Amino acid sequence: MPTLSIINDESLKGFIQSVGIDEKDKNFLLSKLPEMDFDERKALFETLVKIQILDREEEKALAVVDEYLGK
Amino acid sequence: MPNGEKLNIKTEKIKEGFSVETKKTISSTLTEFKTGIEREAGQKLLTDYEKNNDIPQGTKEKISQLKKEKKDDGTIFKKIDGWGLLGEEGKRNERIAQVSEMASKIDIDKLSPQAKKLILGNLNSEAKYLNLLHKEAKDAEKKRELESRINSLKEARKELAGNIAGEDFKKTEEEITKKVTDEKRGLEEEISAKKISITNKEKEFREMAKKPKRTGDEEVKLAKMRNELENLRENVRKNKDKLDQTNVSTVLEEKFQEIEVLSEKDLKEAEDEILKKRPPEGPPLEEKEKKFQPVKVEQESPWVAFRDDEEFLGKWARVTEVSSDTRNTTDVFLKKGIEDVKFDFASVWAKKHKTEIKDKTGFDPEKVDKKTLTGIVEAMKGFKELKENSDYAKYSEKIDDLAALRAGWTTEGVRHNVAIGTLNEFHYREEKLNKQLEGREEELKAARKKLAELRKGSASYDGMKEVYDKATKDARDLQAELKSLSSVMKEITTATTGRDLTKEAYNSQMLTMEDMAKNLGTDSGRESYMRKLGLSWEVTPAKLAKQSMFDRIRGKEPRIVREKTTTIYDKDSNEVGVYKDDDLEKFLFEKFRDDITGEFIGAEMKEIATSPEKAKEGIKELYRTMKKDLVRDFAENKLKKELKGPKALERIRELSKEKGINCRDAIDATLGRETAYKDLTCNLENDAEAIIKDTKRIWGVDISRDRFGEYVEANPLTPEVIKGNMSWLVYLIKMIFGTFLTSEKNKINF
Repeated sequence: MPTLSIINDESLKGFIQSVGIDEKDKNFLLSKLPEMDFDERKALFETLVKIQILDREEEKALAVVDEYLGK
Repeated sequence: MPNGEKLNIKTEKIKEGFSVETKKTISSTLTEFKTGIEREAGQKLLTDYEKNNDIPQGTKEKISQLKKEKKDDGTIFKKIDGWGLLGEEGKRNERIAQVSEMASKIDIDKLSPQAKKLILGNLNSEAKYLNLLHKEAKDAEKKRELESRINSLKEARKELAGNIAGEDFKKTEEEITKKVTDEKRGLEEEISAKKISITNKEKEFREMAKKPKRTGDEEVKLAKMRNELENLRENVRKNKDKLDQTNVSTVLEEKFQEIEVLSEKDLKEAEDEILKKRPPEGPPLEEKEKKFQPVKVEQESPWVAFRDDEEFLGKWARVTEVSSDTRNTTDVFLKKGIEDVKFDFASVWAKKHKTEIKDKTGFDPEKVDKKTLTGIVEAMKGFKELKENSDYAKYSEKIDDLAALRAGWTTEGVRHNVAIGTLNEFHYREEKLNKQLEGREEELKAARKKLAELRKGSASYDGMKEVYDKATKDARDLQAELKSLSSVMKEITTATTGRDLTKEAYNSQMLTMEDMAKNLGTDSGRESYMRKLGLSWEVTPAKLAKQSMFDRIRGKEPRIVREKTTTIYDKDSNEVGVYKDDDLEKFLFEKFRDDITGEFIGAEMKEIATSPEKAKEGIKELYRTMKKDLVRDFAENKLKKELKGPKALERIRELSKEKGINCRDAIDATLGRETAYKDLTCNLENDAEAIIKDTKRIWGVDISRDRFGEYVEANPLTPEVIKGNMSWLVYLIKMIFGTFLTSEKNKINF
């Protein structure tokens, strides 16, 4: 199975660990990783990128609230 | 119509508020009336003064001297204390002139009925004078001019008398016209009947008079006939006179005189009331009317969007009724606006004349309150400078604009630009009050903290409590004013368009990212926004390569050697950066986006979330859910894929045998009839339940609900924390970032 370096086990494991989801979801994704085919890995990568974007947005939204609170 | 007979006219409620036209007529007539009184008094003293025995010799000499100095009669009258010389009558006339002058300057809407009666009396006197002038005038043009003035005055008196008597004088006049016409017809009929009777009697009388010899009885009869004839002729004459006198104007005049009647006591009270009233701010009505057109609507207000809105204008044009409550509240706020501008001016003026104020009044202008400072500046004739010194033009123009707006609310139908101008003003007032409120809330927070500390210890906290109470009161007052302001803005838009436009206006202001992107594409749009941000800039124009004559002839575009750049400086003149047009556009758009989201979140949080802390927890929860949804979608797709494969079917069969449970409905509801399961050869009822259990065990996903994947874990933050705020948060996030996730540039393509 052709595998790109960004969607191999190691890269995806690191990516899953870095995003802001709860441990249960992380463990679920990590457990399913070995049996994922190329398309599923692509889909997972896409999902993780979206989650990362949400992480950044959350950070920004909270910063605005902090600013409002005068912190 | 017989004299004194009152017309029985059905009274109708008269609309409150006089038209601007009427106010103008009343004001100018009262001024003329006052001038007339003074002129008459002047004539009495200054014409043939040498022969007037009531004037002391010394005064006569003074008059003579002043006349030689070519002083006008008004000045001479004042210098010799003319009113005093005219005795009791003079004093009375002086007061009438003073009252009339003051009444010409004040808002008649605000006067009591008895003060209005007094004004009607003055108008009646002036009307009589004008009628007399009209009668005596020989020049046709003069007559026409007087007729026009008499007619305007008549209309104004009708409105005023109607307002006092609670009658609609247009209807009254119609009724009078009808009655007068009927009565005239009756009189005419009576006259013609009497004329026939006279003709017959005369014939009979002539016949009898022709007889050469008449008996005694015939002589008596003839004498009686003569008397009868005389009576008939007299009767016809009287009826003719009555016919001449019976006209609408006369009856209407009688009505006005009836309404005008005031007892001595009421008259005195009415005069005092008028003399004590303060005239309204700003220029007189006529000037207000002229100055009205250029009422400014500042660019940044949300109401600008409605300035050229044809729909708004169209609806507006039909509006004639705005409640007196709305008018009054609007007037109160506009008046406050004028007071604030006056105070702003007073502060600037006082700063310039600090030493002078201290020397003359002993007050330190920096340590006195708003009202006192304005009073001091007023007493020191500072406000004279407001009108005369062009340095203060911005304050005086603002006052004029606000005064024009006030005048705009006194008309029967309120004009579109008055409403927009007013809403615009109120928008800025809201902003100002909100800032003040923030300050008070900060104070309150600090005071609350300090108070809590003091309460723990033994020290007295009376002083602190005072501070706390004052801040509480101030905050409450500001909140009440803001509430009232917001409510009157809603009323204005609802009264004029039938719907509350305030939300639309503010939303249109908040959601203009696209418009802003367009605006920033032009030089003027970028400059306007930079101005708003308080930035300054310098433009270095593009440098073009020199063209050869040949290129010029061919019309070839010159080559750009160096592109146009703009250097931006902040408020403290620090350089922010040097930008080409495209970069500047991006930079400004980012700024706008940050501004709008920041302001919006702040405003929404205050409005909806019970506290910013809770809103923060709500945001976290929202993102947690969104991220969980993404994981769930991924899991769902993977599960579907697995369940489509032959291995999955095998597993399902095994599980179904082991458990032996019914699950057809669950499969229908979750995966649908048209899925790969339609060809499942095992016992579906058993299989699906097995799938449910299995998926729960393997995937951590509970599909026992109606919708697949709708798994919800008990979360301590939901729903207690978010309560009803989730919908807002979703909206908020979509508003801010929605376009980001769905925009083409952010899509991830593999």
